[in-house]
Amino acid sequence: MKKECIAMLLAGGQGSRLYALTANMAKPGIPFGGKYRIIDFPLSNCANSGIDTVGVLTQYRPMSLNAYVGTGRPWDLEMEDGGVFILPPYMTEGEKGNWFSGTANAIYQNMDFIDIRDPEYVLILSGDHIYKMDYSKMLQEHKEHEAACTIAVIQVSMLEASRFGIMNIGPDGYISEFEEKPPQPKSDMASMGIYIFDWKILRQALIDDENDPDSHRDFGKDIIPKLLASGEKLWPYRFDGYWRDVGTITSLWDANMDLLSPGTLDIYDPSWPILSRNPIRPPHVAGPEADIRHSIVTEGCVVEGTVFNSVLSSQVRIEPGARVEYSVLMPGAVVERGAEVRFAILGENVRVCAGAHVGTAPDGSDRWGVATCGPDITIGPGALVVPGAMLYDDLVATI
Amino acid sequence: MRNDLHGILYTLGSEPALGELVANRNSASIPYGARYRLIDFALSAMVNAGVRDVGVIMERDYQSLLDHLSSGKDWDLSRRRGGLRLLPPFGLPESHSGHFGGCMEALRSVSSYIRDIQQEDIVLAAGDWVANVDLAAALEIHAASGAGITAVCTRENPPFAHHRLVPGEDGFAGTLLFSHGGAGEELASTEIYILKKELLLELMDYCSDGRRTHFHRDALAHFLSQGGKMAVYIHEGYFSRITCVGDYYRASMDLLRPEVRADLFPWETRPIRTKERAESSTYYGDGAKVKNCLVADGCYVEGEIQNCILFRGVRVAAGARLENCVIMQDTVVQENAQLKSVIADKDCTVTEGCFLAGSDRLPSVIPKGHTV
Repeated sequence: MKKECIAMLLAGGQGSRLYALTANMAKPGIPFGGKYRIIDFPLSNCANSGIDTVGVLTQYRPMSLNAYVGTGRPWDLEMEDGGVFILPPYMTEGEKGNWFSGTANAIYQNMDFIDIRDPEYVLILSGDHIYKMDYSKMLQEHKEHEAACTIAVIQVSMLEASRFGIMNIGPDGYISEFEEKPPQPKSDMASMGIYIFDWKILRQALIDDENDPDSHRDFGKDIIPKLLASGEKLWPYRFDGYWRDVGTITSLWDANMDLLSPGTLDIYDPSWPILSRNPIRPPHVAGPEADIRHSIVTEGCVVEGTVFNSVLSSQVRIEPGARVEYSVLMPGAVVERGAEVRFAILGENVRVCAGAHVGTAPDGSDRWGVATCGPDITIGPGALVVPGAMLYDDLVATI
Repeated sequence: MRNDLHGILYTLGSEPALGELVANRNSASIPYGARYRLIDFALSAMVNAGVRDVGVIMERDYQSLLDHLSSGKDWDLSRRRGGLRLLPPFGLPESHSGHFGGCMEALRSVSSYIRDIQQEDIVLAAGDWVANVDLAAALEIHAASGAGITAVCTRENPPFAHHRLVPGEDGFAGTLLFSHGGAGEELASTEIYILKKELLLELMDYCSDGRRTHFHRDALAHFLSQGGKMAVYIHEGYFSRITCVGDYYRASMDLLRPEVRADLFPWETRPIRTKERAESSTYYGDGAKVKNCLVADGCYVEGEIQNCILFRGVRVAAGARLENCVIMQDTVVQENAQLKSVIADKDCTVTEGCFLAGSDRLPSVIPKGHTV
C-alpha cells in the first residue's frame, strides 16, 4: 500500500570510538539510560510521529540488534500494513553482492524496498543519537518550503562547530552551503544527520552517485553537496530540543548523566514515550542498608550498597558495602562487597569482584577519564582499573 | 516442553473481606508485588509447566482482568491454535443464571468448552493466590501415581485452608476435612488440582442437578466416597491465599523478605510473567532515602520510603515519609505527607502535609482514585 513517508534507519555502523563496548555489538544496540538501547530513540520517535514503516539497515555485528528489534512490537510497529524491517546486505545473481560501502550506498542497495511502498518522502535516520523529535513537524516544513531535501539542524557552540557538518544558511532561509567539519566554521548550525528527501529526487541522486567513481557513497560528503551544486532547494529544519551524539565513551557517559538532571531530556513524559523491549523481571529491591540518591534504577536490580549519581540498567546487583558513583552500569553488571566504581561505564554482565576499584574521582589532573569495562569481563578481587582505562578482557592484577 | 495438560482458571466474584481492593475488580486482578496481578502467579505456573491452552472463567467485575490478560501475549498464550481463552458469563450456549454458587456451577456454564478440550488432563485453579508452584513436578506425580486427581498441598497451617487432606499410608489422600482449624498431620489444600478430563466430565454430570455446586463439598467428596484415588503433591515453597485485606497486606510485606522473593521469583527457571507496561526506570532524587523496599519502574522518589512496595509510576515528593506502605500504580504522595501502614490503590493523591496511619494488622486503605 502506498505510504506518504517511510523511514530508513542506518544502523550498520560499528561505532569504533566506543571500543570495547562495540567489540561484539553494533552501536545502536548499546544499552542506554537504564531501560533503553540507543535505537529506541529513533524507533520511538517514528512511532510517536506516525511513521509506521521503518527499514533498519544493519551490517556490523547485527545479531543482538536483530533480536532486539524483532517484530517491532515494543514500538507498536508490528502490523500488517507497515512495520519494522531488518535490511541486511545481500547477494545478487551472477555476482557476489556487496557490503554497504557508505550511507548512500546502503539506501541505494535497498531502493526496491522503498519503491514497493512508493512513498512521496523518505526520512533518513541514524542510530547513534539521543533525542526526542516529532518528524511529522519536520515533514510539514519540508512540504511548506517545497524542498528537495530538508535537513534537521541544531545550534552548537562556535568552538565545537568544527566537529560537525555545518550548514550555512542564505538570506532566503534555505541552505546555501554545506561544509563537513570546517576548520573555520561560518555558521553554528550543525547537521543532526536527519534528512527528509523527495523520494524521486533522492532516487536519481543515488543512481548518479553510484556512477561517480570518486564518491564516498555518503550522504554528508556526496549526496548533499551534489544536490546543492545542482541548484535543488535544501531547507534547514531548526531543532532546539535535547540532542546528543553518543559516539564516544565520554559523550555516552555524559548523555547518561544528563538523564539525572531535570530539564535536559524528560523520559517521564507520557505524551512522548520512549519505548523499549524489556525482559520481564521482578521490581528492583533496595535492601535494608541501601543508600540510593540522584540515580536511576531499573526493574530486576538488587541494590544493597551505596549508589550516587549513577544509572543502573536491568538486573544490576550492588552488594552490601559496595559503592557506585557517577557511573553507568549496563544490564547484569555486578559490584561485589567493598568494591568501588567511580566515573566508569560497566558493560553488560561485568563483574567487579570484592575490594576491586574501577576509576576514581577527577582530581583535576590530566589523568581523569571514564574507565570502561567491556561486556562479560571480570575485574578480579582487589584489582585496580585506572581512570580512562579501556578494558577488553578480564583483569586479575592491578594495571 | 509441550505436555498434555490444559489449564482452567476460575476467577469467581471476590471475597467481601477484600473491601475496597475489589471495588472495581475481582480478586484475581488485584495488583500485587509492585508490578503484578494475583492471576499472574497461577497463569505463570501453568505456562512454566508447558501448558499451551488456558481457559479463564469469569463471573463479574472482570473488565480489569480482561484489560490485563488481553490476547495473552505477555504469557506467550496468544497463539494461532489454542492459547488463552477468555470465558465471561453467557459467552457459550449453556443456560445459567450468571451467578455461580460454586466452582462446579461455573464449570457447568462452560461445559461445551470443556468437552472440546484435546488434552488428557486438566489443571484447575483459582486466581487469588501468591506462590511459584512447580506444576510440571505435580504433573509428574499425577502421571506416575495413576490417580484420577492430584491435589497440590502445603504443609503449612495457614488460616485460608478451608480444605485439608489427610494422606493415608499409601501416600494417597483418603480423607477430606472442611473448615478445620486445628493443626495436625493433615495437609492444607491449595485448591489447585490436576484431574483427568474424563473424570471432570463425570463429576460435572454428577453435579448437574443444580444443588451440587461446590467442587470440594460435592464433587470431590463424592469422588472419594466412591473409592476414588487422590494423589498428593506437596508444594514446599511460599504459598498465600488472598481473601481479606489482612491477607493482602501480610503477603505484600512478606515480599520484603529476601527468602520469599527468592522463592517467588526464580526468573531463570520459573519466571512470573505479567503484562508489560512501557515505563522509564525509577528516579531517586537528591533527598531520597530508601530502605528495604520493592520498587517498580517509572517511579519518581524524592522523599523517604522504608519497608514499602511501590507500583509503577508512583511519585513520592520531597519531605514525604512512607513506612510499611503499599502504593499502587500512578498514585502521587505530595510534599511532607506521612503514611504509615497504608494501602493506597491506583491513581490516588495524598495531599501535602497529610498524615494517615493504619495498624500492622489492619492497614488503612485508600480506595482507587481517591484524594486524601
